[in-house]
Amino acid sequence: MLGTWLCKLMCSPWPRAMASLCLCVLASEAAQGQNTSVVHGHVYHAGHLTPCTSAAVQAWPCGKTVFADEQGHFTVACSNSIDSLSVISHGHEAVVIAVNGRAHVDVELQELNVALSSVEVVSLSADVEPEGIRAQQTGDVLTTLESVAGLRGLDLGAGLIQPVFRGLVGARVSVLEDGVPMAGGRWGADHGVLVDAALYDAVEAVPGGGHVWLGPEAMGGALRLSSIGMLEADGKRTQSGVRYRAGDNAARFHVLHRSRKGRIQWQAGWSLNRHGNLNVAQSSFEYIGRQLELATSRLPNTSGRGMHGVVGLCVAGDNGDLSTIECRWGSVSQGLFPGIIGVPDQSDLERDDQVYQWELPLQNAMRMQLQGKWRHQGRMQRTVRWSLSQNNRNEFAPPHAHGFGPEPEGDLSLSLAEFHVFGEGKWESQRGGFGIQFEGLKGRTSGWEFLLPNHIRQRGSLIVDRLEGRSRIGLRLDVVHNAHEGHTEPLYASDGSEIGEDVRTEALSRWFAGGAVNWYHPLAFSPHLRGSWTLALHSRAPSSYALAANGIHHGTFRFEQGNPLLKPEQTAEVRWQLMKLNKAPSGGFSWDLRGFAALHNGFIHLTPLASFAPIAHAGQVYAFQAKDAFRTGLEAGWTWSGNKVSVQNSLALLGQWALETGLGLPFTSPADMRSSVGRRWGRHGNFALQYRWIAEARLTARNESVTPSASLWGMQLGWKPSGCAIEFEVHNLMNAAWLDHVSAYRALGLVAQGRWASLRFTLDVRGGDVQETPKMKQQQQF
Amino acid sequence: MKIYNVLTVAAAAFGIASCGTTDTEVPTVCDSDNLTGLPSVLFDEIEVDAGSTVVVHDAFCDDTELGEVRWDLHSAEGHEHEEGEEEEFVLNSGTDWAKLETRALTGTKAEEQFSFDVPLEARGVWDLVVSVVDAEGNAAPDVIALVHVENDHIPAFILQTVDGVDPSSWEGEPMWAPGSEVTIAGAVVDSDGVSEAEVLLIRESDETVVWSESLAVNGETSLDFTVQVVVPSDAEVGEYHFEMEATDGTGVEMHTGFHLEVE
Repeated sequence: MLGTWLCKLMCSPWPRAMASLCLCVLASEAAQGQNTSVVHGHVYHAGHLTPCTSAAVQAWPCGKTVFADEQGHFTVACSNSIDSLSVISHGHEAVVIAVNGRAHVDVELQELNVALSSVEVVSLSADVEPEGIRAQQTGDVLTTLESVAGLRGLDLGAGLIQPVFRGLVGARVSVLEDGVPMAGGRWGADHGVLVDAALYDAVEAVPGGGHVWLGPEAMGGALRLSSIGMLEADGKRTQSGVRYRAGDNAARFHVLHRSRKGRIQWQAGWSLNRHGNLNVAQSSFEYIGRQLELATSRLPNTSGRGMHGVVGLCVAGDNGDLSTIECRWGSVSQGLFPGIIGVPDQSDLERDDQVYQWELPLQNAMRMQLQGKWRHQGRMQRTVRWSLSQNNRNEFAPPHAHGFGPEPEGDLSLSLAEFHVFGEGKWESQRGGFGIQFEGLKGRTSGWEFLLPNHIRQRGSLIVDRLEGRSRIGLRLDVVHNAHEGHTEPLYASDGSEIGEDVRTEALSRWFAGGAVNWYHPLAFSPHLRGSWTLALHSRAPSSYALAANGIHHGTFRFEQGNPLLKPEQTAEVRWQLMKLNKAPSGGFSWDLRGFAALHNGFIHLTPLASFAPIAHAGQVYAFQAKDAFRTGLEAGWTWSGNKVSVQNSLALLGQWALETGLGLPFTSPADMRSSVGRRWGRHGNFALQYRWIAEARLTARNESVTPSASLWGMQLGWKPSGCAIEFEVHNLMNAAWLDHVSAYRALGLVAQGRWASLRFTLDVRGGDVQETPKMKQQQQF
Repeated sequence: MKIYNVLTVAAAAFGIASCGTTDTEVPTVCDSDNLTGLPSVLFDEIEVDAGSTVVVHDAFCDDTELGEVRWDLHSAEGHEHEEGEEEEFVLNSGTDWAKLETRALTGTKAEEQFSFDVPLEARGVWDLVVSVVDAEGNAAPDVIALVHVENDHIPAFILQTVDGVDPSSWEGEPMWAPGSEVTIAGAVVDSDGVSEAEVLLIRESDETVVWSESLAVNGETSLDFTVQVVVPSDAEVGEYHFEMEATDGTGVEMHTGFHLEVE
């Protein structure tokens, strides 16, 4: 039956038509199902149109994944239809492509771009002082120092500078050269350091005390001079400059050359300067209670000359290793104002036609230093520093006796020769470091003007420095040994006969323990608002001078008396800073604030006694005493930069008191405000009008005179195309007569310099593959 | 930030509040019970004679406690102590003479005497500088009295003109040029007669006599002289001293002169 039905069906025409139709439809569907379940195509990089090999192609909804071949071709097949393809490749944005029935799909992949905001990498480097302030290099040490608010520089002559940091001076402000503290009679406020800023890569000021790597002498702060760094690549770089300054007829020349080939670089530099007698605005002034007239508005016998030099070698090793050796020297010879040693006669002030010549009294200072550094990168970075230096200072004066007895023979009034050694070993990792320091100084004195005896000073320190979270905590333990010889001189009667011995000092040997704890914490309120705070506890052993002095210090015209029973000064200090940076890189408004408060237990300073020295020309006796003190200060600055105009303003305030008496401490800097309005023209030109106001110094120590306020105008004109600069600068444009309260010679009444105008030309020539050394690299040269 | 500001201000306030107070008043030379009529440093000038003993009487006062006083007597040649004080042209002699004395004081008022013997060789003007300090160390401004020393014991030089100019009208040091000739007119007097007299030009840097001339004297009590000082043409530029020396009939010697500059 069934066969008959099927035969009848197959033989009838309608069934044959229907069957044919079904077959077609089935064939068609079969054909269609075969096309959508297989998709092929290419994956390529957008823009480059190059194959994107190994891109992953995943078909949806079946989920089958294939990879593009070397030509970027892929073929993916699914049992079901493929709706879309997801294409992924490393470093590219993922793409989802709708197939839409296509059998061939080419996919273009865009490269992945990630925008990062500022990234802060926190790690420790003992050579980086987070509170450091880069001074603006001006080619002149004095103006370089004073570019930092709160930092003053006492210009003591041809390359002799004494930094005053927040009212502290001398042995309380450490001057470090590549981490090595400089010697040279630092205990004397009128004994400057022999430096030429042009022969260093950078000058940085670090305010406050307790910085564990900077030594216990950095109580007011430290001045860090960074040595000459390696060039980025093979090549040469020569920096040179000349300057002439009308006023004191000062001329200067410097050249610094470095040459690198492969891993070795050598450098050499030299500077020479000469200046005439200091010009002043006053025509008469009071000096040690005597009224003196100046016939030519110059301080006679204050001319001088200086010379500085450096040669060195750097060898870079594998993986950032570095070895350096460097020799530096400096020599200064200059006259001294006649009243600084002895008592001036009016006739002494009449000789001024020989502007560049000087005679008695005069001083010579010389420095010779050899230092080296070795740095090795490994699991821990190891650094070894060493230094040997010889510092000599000689003062010459017409021989005169201060009491009874014969006049001295010879002109050498005081000679100080110091031999100094320094060694440091440091181990650092990302989160911490530790190290040891050793420092030794041997001082020999001679001359007919006894001030302090032969002495030695040795220090050993253990240092630990660590990052805890974002804070940096440091600890230093010090052991200091001070010793000096006894010194006696013949004692004479009024008739010149020798009647006994005058014991000036007795031998002493003492050990002092001390140290420092420093906790620094940075603050980041926003990318443009940052700050920090620091808590520091530190101690400082008394200097050899404070322990052993007993004689006339000509620089201050006082009889200064040491105290062998002094104990170390102890300080608790808090510092803070807050700064707002420009949001726009090319201009805008920025400001910064820095402040501090410090309590000192046993602050050692010269205090007048109720007695006079029993010898002529000596005056009142000033003795080193330890009195508790409190110091606080604020430095503020703001800058606005527009397209062509910029305005800068800074203000430094300082107060320091002896708690027992409520009087100010000596050399308390009065409020100091500086303003500058500048305009740029073209790409290279600039002009600035400057104003400086120094407030009246009323916070004075006992017997210290009030110093009137001063207004000083100035201007600056510059042209700085690439590689060179021409600058014209005028200081004290109105030739205002003023006294510098923080001058080492203020106690004598010596007046400050009047107007000067300076023309400076500098050149920076590079050759080879050398690129400009980035500032971060320069910092790493410490 | 607020807590940091508070801590800073608190520390400052603590520091200032902890400050003690101290006496800052300086002592003074005050009115004395000078019943003896002795000279005082408060006098503008004190006239004394060579060979005499002088006593200066003063009182010193302080609000809390005196400390020490110092008398510094030295030649006034070559300097002034006070603005406006004009240094007269004075031919000083025996300028090496000086006296320095310090003395402890007690109480809030002390009367003290300072005595000195004027040597027979001295003539001219001396400064008596008195310095006082109290027990706290406050130093008073120096008080200065001029001491005029008259002397009949030694010969005296009187200069009428130097290069035609009265030296009392000089402002500052005279300047002579190398190779120049300077006429000096004056006189030398002594009641015992002048037995020797000489004038010299001396280079101060090494005390070399570059020119000299002896005056022709024969025991007169007064001798006028006129000399032509010849400054050598190769004279070094610098400080010089025109020295005048004389010996009287009894053998008493003196020397005096004035500073000048050769340029």
